[in-house]
Amino acid sequence: MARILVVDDAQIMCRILQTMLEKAGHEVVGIAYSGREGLDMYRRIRPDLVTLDIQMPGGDGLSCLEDIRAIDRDANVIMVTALGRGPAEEESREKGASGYLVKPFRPEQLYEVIDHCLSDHEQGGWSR
Amino acid sequence: MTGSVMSVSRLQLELLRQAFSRGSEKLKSALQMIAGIAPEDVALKVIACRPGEFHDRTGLGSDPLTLVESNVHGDVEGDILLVQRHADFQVFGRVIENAVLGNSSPGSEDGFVPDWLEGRDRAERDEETTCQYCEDAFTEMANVLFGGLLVSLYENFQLATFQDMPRLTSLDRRQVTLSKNLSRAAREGDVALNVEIECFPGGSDFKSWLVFLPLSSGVRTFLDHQTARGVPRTVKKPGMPPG
Repeated sequence: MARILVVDDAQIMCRILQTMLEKAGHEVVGIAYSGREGLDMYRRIRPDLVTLDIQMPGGDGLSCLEDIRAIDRDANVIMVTALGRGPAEEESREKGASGYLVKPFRPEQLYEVIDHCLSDHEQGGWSR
Repeated sequence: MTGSVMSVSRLQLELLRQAFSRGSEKLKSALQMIAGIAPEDVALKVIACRPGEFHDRTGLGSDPLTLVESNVHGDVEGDILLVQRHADFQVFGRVIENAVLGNSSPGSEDGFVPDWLEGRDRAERDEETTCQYCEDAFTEMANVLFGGLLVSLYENFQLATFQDMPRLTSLDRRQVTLSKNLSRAAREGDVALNVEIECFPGGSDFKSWLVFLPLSSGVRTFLDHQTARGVPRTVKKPGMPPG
């Protein structure tokens, strides 16, 4: 079980993620609706893992990823996005994300990426 | 976008329609995740036409709309929209309430209630707040549907595209936003690729249209790509109008 912070500007996506994560036994310790709010929460909560949307108003998720990694180089962050594969995925990896998940996804896909991230993170693994 | 508008034949439209169909199945996954609509409660129909034929081919009429629009960049450029009649958006809202807010089965394991509605009786729930939640759901559904389609372009055709932040128009009384996009497409692209999405969960019935309006350069890229892959360009389906 992990303590997870969910960051997504879409309230419904936050709730979908929360429901899926809690069903798998994880604890959602915070929900943020913007990158800035997510960063503030990360500082305070220090979760085991963050799910982070890429496209958000007022600062995108990739900037937030950099900011989180600047304060914690071991931060475990999974990018969750509708942007698909390609440049966004590559940039996420370069900026230190631990995993990448494309919407729409099934619960088992989410669990698989999280499991890989939590088990592979120390070895610098990458999950998609 | 610069470049002359290419004249797209009926045959090329059919080719685009078939290619677009390959990505449409992904939409069912998006609907299931966001709105809890089972795949068997969704029917998809892919229509390729010219922007000027959009209303005739979809039967949309002149009703007020709710829509989300975004711009697509990369190998294929253009505009992408999710369109619903505003009356159907009300139905969609009830589906979201039932599926996501758990109103149909209070306390059900699968349902959940937003923070600001927790502890309040359903009758007390602020209708406007719920509506706001449904607008958020509709926008995110569009975001995911757009993304799903663009992912399929990449997976099926290796065309890398990305979208801007989706923008919601909650009530387009005179279809101004749709007309603006169709007019631009008529000037700069001449193709409207549509997926008509009919959903009938739990006795409800509503339609949405996912509309992709590629610019000329995008249509060229797409057709060139198809030709390079050796896709036959003489495909003719029964009942298809002459090219």
